[in-house]
Amino acid sequence: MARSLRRGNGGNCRSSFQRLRSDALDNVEGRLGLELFVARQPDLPTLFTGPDLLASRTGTTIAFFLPKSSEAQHPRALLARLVLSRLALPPTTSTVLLLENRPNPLDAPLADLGASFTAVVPLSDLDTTSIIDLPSGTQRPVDPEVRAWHSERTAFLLAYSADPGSAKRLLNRTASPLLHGRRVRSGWINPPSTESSPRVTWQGDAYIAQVDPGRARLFDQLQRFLTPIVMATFGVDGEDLLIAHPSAGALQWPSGWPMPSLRELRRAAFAGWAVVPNLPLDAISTSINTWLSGRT
Amino acid sequence: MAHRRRIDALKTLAIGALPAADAGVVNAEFERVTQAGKVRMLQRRYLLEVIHSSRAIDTGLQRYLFHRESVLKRNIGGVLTYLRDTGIAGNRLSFHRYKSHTTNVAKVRNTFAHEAGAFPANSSEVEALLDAMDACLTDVFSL
Repeated sequence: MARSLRRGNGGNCRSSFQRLRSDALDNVEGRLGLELFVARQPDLPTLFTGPDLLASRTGTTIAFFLPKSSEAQHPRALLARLVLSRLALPPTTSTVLLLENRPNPLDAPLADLGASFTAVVPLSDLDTTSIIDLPSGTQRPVDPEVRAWHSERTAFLLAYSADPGSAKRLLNRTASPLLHGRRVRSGWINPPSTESSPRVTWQGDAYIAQVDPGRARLFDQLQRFLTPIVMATFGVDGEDLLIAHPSAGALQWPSGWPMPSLRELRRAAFAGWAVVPNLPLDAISTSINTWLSGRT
Repeated sequence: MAHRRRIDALKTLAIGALPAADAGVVNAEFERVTQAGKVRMLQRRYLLEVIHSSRAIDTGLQRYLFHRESVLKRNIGGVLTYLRDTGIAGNRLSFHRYKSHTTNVAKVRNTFAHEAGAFPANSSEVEALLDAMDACLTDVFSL
């Protein structure tokens, strides 16, 4: 599917890819639906984009990921989607990567990510029995301390977005759980892909982005920054999810613009971004770096 | 249909997290949220969506806590307090998350459930409350 569609005109290619992708999801949904309760494109409160299908029966929840065209080109984006989904879903959720079956060198980077999923299932030889029989908890759960740190970062960034003036009080109440010597520093970080862009700077572990006036929705503003921040913060080693380098971002929101909804702010915070109006860059980066370092 | 993708996601999580009988009770209540979308009188529709969501969340949290910890709490406030102080398998809700769920879910819901004449002003207000409820339930299921 992916190989044949990558050639040729970009627009037609994308729409064909999306149609085939949608057909593939229809097929999987239909087959699974005989045995499991299935939600298509589940609308989860903390995720801009989560799994493509979420299926369950008593005691078992399975999240399915079918790479998008952008993820076929940039597999790290798929990994970032997986990381955030694992943090958003119950710890015992199994994850399944759906891939084309035919040998395809272009899919090799995606296949390499297979170790981070509970199972990799070929679409063209879909065996739902093996999926349905996935026992609950076959995926190694995310370390509770990683979950706790991420939850605290989300709480801090969301509260900071809602009320930047309360940063000092927030810092006293949402200290990083990893501050007592358990923090892992790699000493190296992938800067955002927009390194050369004047819209992103970073100070310490805080990334500060300015809005693109041509984009109205918060997701469109953040879309380019989500993967770099997720993958800079978290390390993925097989099924293990680690905190590689605690970091967070803030989007400087113009004071004349209406603030995004709480739903959007929650999703941005979950992905590692605060949305902050009316504060200078230095004040924002100081607050974020202070929280990340655990020094209050 | 209103809230369909959101409700289906929550139903999936409830089936995976709760014993079958409990999931059935909770999901029947979630289904009533989507059915409430057909009510023409807006004030009544909003209130029904809040009430049915609220009953689903309350029961879901209560049954989940009983399923995981054999502890019975009568309402969302009791469940959140237990999760803050004791947690599930040692994983506790931080103060900040506890406060966020109490403020955004329990207090807002109580206003509409118990005050005569109180209705959500518009669909955005309902959306915000349902979002906060969803976030609370998924947060607890992830402990």
